Amino acid sequence: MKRFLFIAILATIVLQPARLLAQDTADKPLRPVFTGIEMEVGGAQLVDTYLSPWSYKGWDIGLNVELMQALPLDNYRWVWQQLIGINYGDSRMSASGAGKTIFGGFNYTFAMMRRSNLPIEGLQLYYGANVGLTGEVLYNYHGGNNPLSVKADISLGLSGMAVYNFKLGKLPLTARYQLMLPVVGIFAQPEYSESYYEVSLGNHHNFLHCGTWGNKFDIDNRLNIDIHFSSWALRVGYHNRINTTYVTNNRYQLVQHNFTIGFVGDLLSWSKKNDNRPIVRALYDFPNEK
Amino acid sequence: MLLVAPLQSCFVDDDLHMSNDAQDNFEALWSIIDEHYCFFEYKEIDWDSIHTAYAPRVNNEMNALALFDLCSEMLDELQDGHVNLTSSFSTSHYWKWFQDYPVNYDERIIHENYLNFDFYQTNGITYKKLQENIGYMYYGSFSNGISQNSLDHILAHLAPCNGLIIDIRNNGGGTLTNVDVLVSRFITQRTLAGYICHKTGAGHNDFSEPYAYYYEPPQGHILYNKPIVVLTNRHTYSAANNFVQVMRLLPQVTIIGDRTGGGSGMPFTYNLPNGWNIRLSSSPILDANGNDTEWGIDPDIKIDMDTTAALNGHDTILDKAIEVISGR
Repeated sequence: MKRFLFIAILATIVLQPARLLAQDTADKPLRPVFTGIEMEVGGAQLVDTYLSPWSYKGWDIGLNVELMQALPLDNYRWVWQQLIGINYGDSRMSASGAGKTIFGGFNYTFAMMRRSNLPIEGLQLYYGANVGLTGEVLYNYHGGNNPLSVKADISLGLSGMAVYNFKLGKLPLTARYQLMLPVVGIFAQPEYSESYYEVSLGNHHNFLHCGTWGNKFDIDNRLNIDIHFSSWALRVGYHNRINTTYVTNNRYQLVQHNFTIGFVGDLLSWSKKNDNRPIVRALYDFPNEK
Repeated sequence: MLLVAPLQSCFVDDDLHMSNDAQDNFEALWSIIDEHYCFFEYKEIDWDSIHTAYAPRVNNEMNALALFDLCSEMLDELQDGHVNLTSSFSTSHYWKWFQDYPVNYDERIIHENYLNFDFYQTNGITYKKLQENIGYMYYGSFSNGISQNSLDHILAHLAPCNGLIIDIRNNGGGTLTNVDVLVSRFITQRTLAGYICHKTGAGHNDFSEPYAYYYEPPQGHILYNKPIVVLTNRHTYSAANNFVQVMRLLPQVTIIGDRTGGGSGMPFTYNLPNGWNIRLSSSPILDANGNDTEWGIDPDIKIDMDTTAALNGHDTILDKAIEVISGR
């Protein structure tokens, strides 16, 4: 059942461009949906004093999907971007290698960004805002009434990226650095030693918190290079995510450093009638000024 | 990437200075108890003076077993059956809370002389109609999940009886949701079950306001409203103690037997740097009158098993329960 659900979600994502394309009329530029699927693997370090006062470190794997499309606003200077990620990790106590905490979660970000050319040819800057959803579950094998810690938040933040299209010999490359920085939001965290059993009884006092940089600081950094082969590109890169909360006298921090590899490209349902239509790409291209 | 480097250093690693030796682990244990244990004031324990007494006895030359024994001895100062230190080679226990009390339960006597080795069992509950037309059910652990369906069968079977004996002697506790499932069959309306609170910080008196929690009778299931006797002994502990603290305030319920073992603090567990685990009382659960039952609950009728009568196959606590329900 889970497999069918996954396939259905993936199909929805992949078929999205065709649906959007249908909205385009014949005299307007085609706007392909930039689509990327990446695997990531690396290391993680975490501490969640609700579960244990000590830090843990271990490995982390994940899967990311990226979608991006130019918008017919301000001469196609605006793009939307969706980033969807899931991850799973396994960690042991840093001090001794004993104990075990596993963790897994998902994150989703929808961003709207404006892009500008910079004086250096091929270099573009994207900047805008995003809304993000994050969920993470940590399970510590020490058992008892507090083996589980659930993190969930919704946030508004800043998104920005620098994209540099260049050639190495005849090989076209795109280098990109992207930063996402939640600024304000709402997140859930029980009090210092409050059990989820008590929360389930209905005690929601001080369970939801307004997140600002004073009690919650998250950052997401992505650096990658797309190596173009025909219409698709091989993506290799690095993904760093830091999630931090300090509230109700509990401290939580998860730091992930992952290497990524995947395939990216513009999804376009091509037909003869579109032969003469211009194409406005979200990432690899920039329209001529009209 | 310029941002990544300084932000990576934001990871506050309290373990960096630790060498994971005996002194580090002793201090870690003491601090975890200091910051999370919930009964210091209630039990009038001076935890700082206990550090003063025990810390000089720790040295980094001692082996793991010696450290374990010393830590266990220190933990006994908390007089708490919910406090356990667990390593790969042993688990510490505080035994004294029941050592001075009689056992007050013999399963063989009941199975042989009251149930005649002919009874039903489901979901960890043994049940039968006794000769006196009284229902009897023994529930040995609240860790055994109770399904509503099974409970319907049990109560339907025992419904024709004049009353019900719920025997939870030697029930060392388990899951609080099972307390809710069972108690809810004996109430007819939303009932205040008690109050729960938790620590809000590391200070010994940093507690939340007690939060009232309620049980409600399940709709579409069998409810039982005839006289009930709950049998207890000192080994009736933790969630079983919680069951008694709710049941004893119901008008149709009589508690018979010995004082319960207490254990009213919901335990949390934490790691030590060396991988040992420490379980400790963290979240006090008060009864509906706001009283703490950490030291146990006295029965309505205090009676111990007569050991001489036991030799002749009599459980005098169970006999008393039969007498009370029979109105003799």
